[in-house]
Amino acid sequence: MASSREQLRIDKHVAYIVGLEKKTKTTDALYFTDHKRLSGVYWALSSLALMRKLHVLPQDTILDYVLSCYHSDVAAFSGNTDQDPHLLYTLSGVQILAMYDKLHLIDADRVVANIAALQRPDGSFAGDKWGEIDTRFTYCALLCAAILRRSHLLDVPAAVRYVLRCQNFDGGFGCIAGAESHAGQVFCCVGSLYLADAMDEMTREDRERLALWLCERQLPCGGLNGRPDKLEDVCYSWWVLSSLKMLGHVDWIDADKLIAFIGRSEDDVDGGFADRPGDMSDVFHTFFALAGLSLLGNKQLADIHPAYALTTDVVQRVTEPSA
Amino acid sequence: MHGRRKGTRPSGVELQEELQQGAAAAELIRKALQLRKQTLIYPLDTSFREKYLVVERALETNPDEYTLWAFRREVFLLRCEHDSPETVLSLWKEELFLTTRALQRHPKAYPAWQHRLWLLEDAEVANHIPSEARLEAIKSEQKLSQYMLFKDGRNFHGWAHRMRVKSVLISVLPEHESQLEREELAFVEEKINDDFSNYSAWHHRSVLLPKVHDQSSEVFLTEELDYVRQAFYTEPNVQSAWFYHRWLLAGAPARRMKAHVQTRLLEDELMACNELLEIEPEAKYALQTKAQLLLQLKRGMEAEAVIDDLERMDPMRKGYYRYLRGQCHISYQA
Ligand SMILES: [Zn+2]
Repeated sequence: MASSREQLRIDKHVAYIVGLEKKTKTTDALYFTDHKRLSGVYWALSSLALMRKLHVLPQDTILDYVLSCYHSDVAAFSGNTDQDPHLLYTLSGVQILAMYDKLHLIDADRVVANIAALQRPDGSFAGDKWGEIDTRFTYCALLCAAILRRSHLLDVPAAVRYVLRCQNFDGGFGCIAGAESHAGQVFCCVGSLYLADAMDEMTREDRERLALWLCERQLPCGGLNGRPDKLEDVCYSWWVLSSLKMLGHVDWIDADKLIAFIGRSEDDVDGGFADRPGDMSDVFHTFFALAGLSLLGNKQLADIHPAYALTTDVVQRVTEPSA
Repeated sequence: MHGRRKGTRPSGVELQEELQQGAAAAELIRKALQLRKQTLIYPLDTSFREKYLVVERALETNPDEYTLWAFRREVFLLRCEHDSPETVLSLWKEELFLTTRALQRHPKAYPAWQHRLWLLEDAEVANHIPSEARLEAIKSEQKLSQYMLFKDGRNFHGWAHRMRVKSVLISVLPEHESQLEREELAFVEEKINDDFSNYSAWHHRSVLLPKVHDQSSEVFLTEELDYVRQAFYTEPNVQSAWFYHRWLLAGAPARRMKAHVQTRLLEDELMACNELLEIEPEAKYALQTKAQLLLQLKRGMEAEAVIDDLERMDPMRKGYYRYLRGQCHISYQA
């Protein structure tokens, strides 16, 4: 397996992440991602944590920023200081606090109670008070509750029933019941079932069909796509692989070829990874590239948990029986 | 984020222009978010109304600014409470038109689709819009997604929006449910016939068929198998039809058949695969299907021979084929 495994340029990637803060203020038109800056911080910090370099950024400054996105009136996080609270960003906020072991800075009871208020009678979750339904929000809800050790405040069996209703003819999952399978949604739904300890609720035939659909995402170039007949993209290295990992079938794809593809998307001059070879790096794909490589057993990187999307030492800390 | 080529970064005058545009867009968004902090009091004064235009322009620039859409909903609901019904109706249409403009340029902006659905679906909004006008808008709504799917037949936002709008329509006109499902199936079939490789359309066929047809009938399944066979005979290397085929024979549809019918159908399909493989011996998905059919027929030894070919032809998935081989041994014992 080691044949195509070159050494990662850790120092360059660390420098790239650390330099991001300055970059947003100059050339790259990052106003497109400003509304989800908190998730950007999570991707940046997770990239560093995977490289075992979380400490290179000033924790206090970051926590100040993260808490500036926390709305204590509704106990939820927003995508940036001026934005509205939304479940997508509550997850990012909770994940970041978990990484720093600072979960006590928020009111966990109220955070999870407010998430519970977003659950619908059919088990699905809305992203915020405006009522958009999506299985991404189910994953966010279950993961926040798991990290905060309050899953019992949600109706987990109903959530599982809804997720299973979203499973399609090809074994994959979509954003709502009846919507087309997409690797990102597959990750959210399989992750939800995993967190709910309900993987066995899928039949063996359904799991097998799903894993086949997932391994068919690998294209001759070695990269993975997110749906049939679409282009390869580094971010699916995470969504497809983590799903296969939870299903126990990571070996259904060609790891060497995928590692080589991710390697070709690496910027070995300025650091970071792009969506595919020849494109410009960004923090999102940098995280998903490193996370994918970690799942494939790269020894330069810390291990990542396929459902929690956090390094396993953090997962251990948040899941170990409390004293 | 996606598809920005390295080395194509502009320089000189071009760079200056891009920077200026970026700064202008960021400034628009900043102003709009600033306005959002103001407490809304009715009547909205002239200075607010003037400034409010900036929100529209910011959303046209970047419709992913989810907070600005929420801002618009708040302003709209406030005006619903106080303005005349005529004004509210025209405001409502303006909101819909704003999402159309945003989606034409950014067809994958989640919050713009969400805002549009909210205008059509929300119960509070419905209280303020005359029911005929609302019904008319919902009925003609599928034209938008039709247009979006004409531009990109795989846009899953467009497809999901169709489903959501159909549910709204069914909730208004429950007596038309089966007719609406049939019309949607006809739309999907048109999409498949336009392009056999449109995976999204095959997916939606699998969702709609059970709603329209009696699936327990053998005639239904046989006709469906005939239909899918045409597709993979025409384009044997396109995976859509094959995934669909597998579902018919290993998923819910086949499970509804009696055992002897199942066996006969599996044997028929095996024959169809063999015929195709005579012409196209390297058709991978036909081989995968053949292996699967042989396994279902408990003919493990023959399946193993097919798996040998697959491993040679498709080494990237050798892990999967190894697993299938394991299933062959289980099927020997059975
Ligand atoms: Zn990507």
